[in-house]
Amino acid sequence: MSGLVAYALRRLAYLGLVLLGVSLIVFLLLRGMPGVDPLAAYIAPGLPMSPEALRGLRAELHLDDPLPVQYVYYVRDLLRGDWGFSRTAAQPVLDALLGRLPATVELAVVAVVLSALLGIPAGVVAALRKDRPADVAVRVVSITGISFPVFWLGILLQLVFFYYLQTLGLPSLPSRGRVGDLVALQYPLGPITGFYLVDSVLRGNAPFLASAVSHLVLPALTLSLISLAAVVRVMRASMLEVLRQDYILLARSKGLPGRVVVLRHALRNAITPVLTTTGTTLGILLGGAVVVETVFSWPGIGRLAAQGILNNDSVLVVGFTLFVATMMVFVNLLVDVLYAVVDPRVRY
Amino acid sequence: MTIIRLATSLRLMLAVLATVLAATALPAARPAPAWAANDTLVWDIAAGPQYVDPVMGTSAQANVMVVQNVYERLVWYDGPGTQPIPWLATGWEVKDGGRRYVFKLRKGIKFQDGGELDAAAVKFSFDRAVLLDDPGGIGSFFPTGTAAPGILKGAWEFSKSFGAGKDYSQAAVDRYMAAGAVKVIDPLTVEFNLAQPYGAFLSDIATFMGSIVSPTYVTAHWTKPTDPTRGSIPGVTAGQRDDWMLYHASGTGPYTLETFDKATANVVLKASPGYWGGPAGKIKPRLQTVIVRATLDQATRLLNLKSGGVDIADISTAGIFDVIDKKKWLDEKKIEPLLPGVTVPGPNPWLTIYFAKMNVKIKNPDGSLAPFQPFQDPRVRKAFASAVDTADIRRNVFNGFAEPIAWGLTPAQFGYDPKVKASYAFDLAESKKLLLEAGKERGFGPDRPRDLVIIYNAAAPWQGYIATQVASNINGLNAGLRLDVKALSFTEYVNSWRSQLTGFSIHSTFSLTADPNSWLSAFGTSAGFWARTSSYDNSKSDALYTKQFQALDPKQRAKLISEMVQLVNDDVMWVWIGAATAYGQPTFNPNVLRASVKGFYYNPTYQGFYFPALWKE
Repeated sequence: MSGLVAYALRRLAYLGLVLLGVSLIVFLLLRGMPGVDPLAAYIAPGLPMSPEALRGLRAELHLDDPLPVQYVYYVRDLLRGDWGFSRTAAQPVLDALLGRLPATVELAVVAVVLSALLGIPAGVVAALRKDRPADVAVRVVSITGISFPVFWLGILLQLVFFYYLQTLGLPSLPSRGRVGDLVALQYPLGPITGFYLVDSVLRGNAPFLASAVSHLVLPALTLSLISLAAVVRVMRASMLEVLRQDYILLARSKGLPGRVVVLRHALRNAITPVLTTTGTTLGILLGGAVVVETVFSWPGIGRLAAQGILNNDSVLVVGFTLFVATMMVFVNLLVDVLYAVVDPRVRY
Repeated sequence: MTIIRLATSLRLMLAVLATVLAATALPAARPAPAWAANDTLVWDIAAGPQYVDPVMGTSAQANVMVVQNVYERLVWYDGPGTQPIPWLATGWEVKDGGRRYVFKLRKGIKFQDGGELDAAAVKFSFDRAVLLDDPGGIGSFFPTGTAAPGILKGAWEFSKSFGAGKDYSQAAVDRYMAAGAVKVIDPLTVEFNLAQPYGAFLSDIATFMGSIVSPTYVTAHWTKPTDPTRGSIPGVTAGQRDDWMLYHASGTGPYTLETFDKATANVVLKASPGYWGGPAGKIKPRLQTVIVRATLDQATRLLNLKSGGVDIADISTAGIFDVIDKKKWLDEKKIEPLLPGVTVPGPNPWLTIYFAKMNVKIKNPDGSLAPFQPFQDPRVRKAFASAVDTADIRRNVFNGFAEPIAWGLTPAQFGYDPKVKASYAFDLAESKKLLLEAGKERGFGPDRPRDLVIIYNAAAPWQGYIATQVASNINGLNAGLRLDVKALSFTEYVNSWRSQLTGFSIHSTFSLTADPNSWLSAFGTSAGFWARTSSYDNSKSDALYTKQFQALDPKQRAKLISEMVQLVNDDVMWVWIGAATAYGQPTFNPNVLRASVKGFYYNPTYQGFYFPALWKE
């Protein structure tokens, strides 16, 4: 265990360097483009600011200093939590991102759980029925799923599960938002954690919970398809590998029931790579939900970034990039550490 | 056997999952959605409000939409009219040649927090606007720059954003307050003292920035600054935005701001129970609840509209042919909805224009002047203007939702004069002739061609269409100019025209007021925003600008505006591509309504709907 702690500490130290590198790239995107006055990124294009006000802003941002000096100020501000001010959110960038993070995390976690719930059994079935119709079907469906553009898939799901069902007078799923507008008015939820599922359970607010769950289904399903193919393929490959191992043969020869062999002996060992895949996917989904959040008006950091792009809010977009990169780095570290915990054979 | 058992358990898992999905669908299952109730209106808007403090400048019309329903002003617009009438005031007197305005207030009007509307509240609201000094705030409406140094007495000297202010110290605040810009004469009489006469004063205070806020409400949520260098009056810290008022409101308007969700940018408005009824006492909101939902994706907005789940949806002109018959509109100018139960009222003149600008001082990135300055020659400017097929652009880029204009005013604005003559027309032969003539003196010609670059914002394909058209037309003339088109990232694009690195660029702009003053300044005065970034300088135009804004007689002012407009037009600095028209009551996008929404009328000075006018059947 001490080896693991040392490893985690070492990785944390590397993290600092990685984040410094990320901040440098992000800084150069914002300030270091040749021939471009970086002040343009900080002002609304049509805002009739006087030359004096522009000079004041330039001095405030240290834009007349050499780039390395500007970078030092930039990193100092980042460390102080001053990531700039977003015109889109009308808030400091970090506040805007942190305020919307729970919505994104909730969506990403549910999507990952959904992709695991669907992908792991599908991968196991595909492995057990290798090259037979079930295997081919699973592979075709998972590859097809990931091949569709996410925005298209989202709109398709809205069309079927919202529009057509509602037009036919059947039970339907909501097309947008995180909770029903009238439910939020009639059964207001005092935020605790910012995660609607958790908060509505803690508050015992059943109508809010039901509405929040129904609003989660379509975006989470759409998002889960991004990672489903990866989970299925890794699960299938890993399961095939494990099923060829001697200890599986031994278990079978001992007369253990097939279900026990598959679930207790094969699945437990085959699932470790899936954990890594799922963890990495979670990181990707946290930053990659831009399209899904936009299509479903999901008020997370992805939608905010999309708005920032549409509003040409460079300070926000660059802040989002840094934020997501930081999250990815931490999720990767967490996955690596968990990997070692789950699989005691792994040594660093 | 194993596989069968496993498959059974997997089937069980899937069955459980399916049940969960079905169960979660049930709460949302409503054959008749709750918002179909006649007293609730739902609007899917493309971009929701960011904040609702009226003293904060904004380019987000949705902010203004909330403000115009929650707050009220001394003067405002009656129905579709664009001339301000007394609203919170019963009337006004203009004294000292337009330097003093005295307003009498209505008695008995209360703010939504219970406070009384009186002269002190009016004074507080305007002093607050000046003292907060938001860089996009009231200063941009109370003109600035050398042509018009400040309107409210003392504001120019105080403002760091728009005037000559140096700091936000208590001394600076005290100096502004002592200047007496706004004075309480008695509880129902308030006096405005202007630094100079200003013809657009009434229409300026009719905008959202003239909104009257409840002083008791603002002060109750204000904290005195601890920074000793920062001046204040009770309720206002100089030069510092009010974080509470960004997302909360208390006005005298027909609606209260029930909720404002920063993360979703959704707002809910509720009819104000004690609303005083407006000037004629007849305004009684019939919609009890208005839900405005920011729905970024147009496909989702369209689906919600089609399903009847929303009453109003923003639909951009680029996507309007999902809603109306394209052929009927483009060929016959008839709007015929394709969707049953949907109306598309309009089109009406809007306050948005599309234009291209030419820069007479092209600079190098280091700030020095570039050696080749073709646009200093009026013949080159006219040749470029004559090479833009604006009719084609209006039809194919804006889908017919733009009208030709001879100058940068729309028919919705005061001073719009259809008699103003355009100084160019689409004529490639004329363009070639002019370029060949100019080239002889400017050092270019078919035998010695010079290169020029036209830039556009890569995120705005409509600009790309125009840039490509201009380049193709000019290059096809073989008159000695070779144009290359470059798509730039937004930051590079803004930097390029703001720093004058480019000679020709394409833009759009919109106004929050029907008064032309801000646009006249921007295009026609050397200190104006667009003129400054083109190095346009015409002292006669500057003088006419000052004269027109000091003119109090509307007829005289209109005449001066026409004179100024023609003068600038003859200099051919701008290529007027078109004035946008709109359906519905647009914010950032125009919008379409379910036919069940009644009472709609269009007013170009509104930003989004004035909800008390609407009801549902």
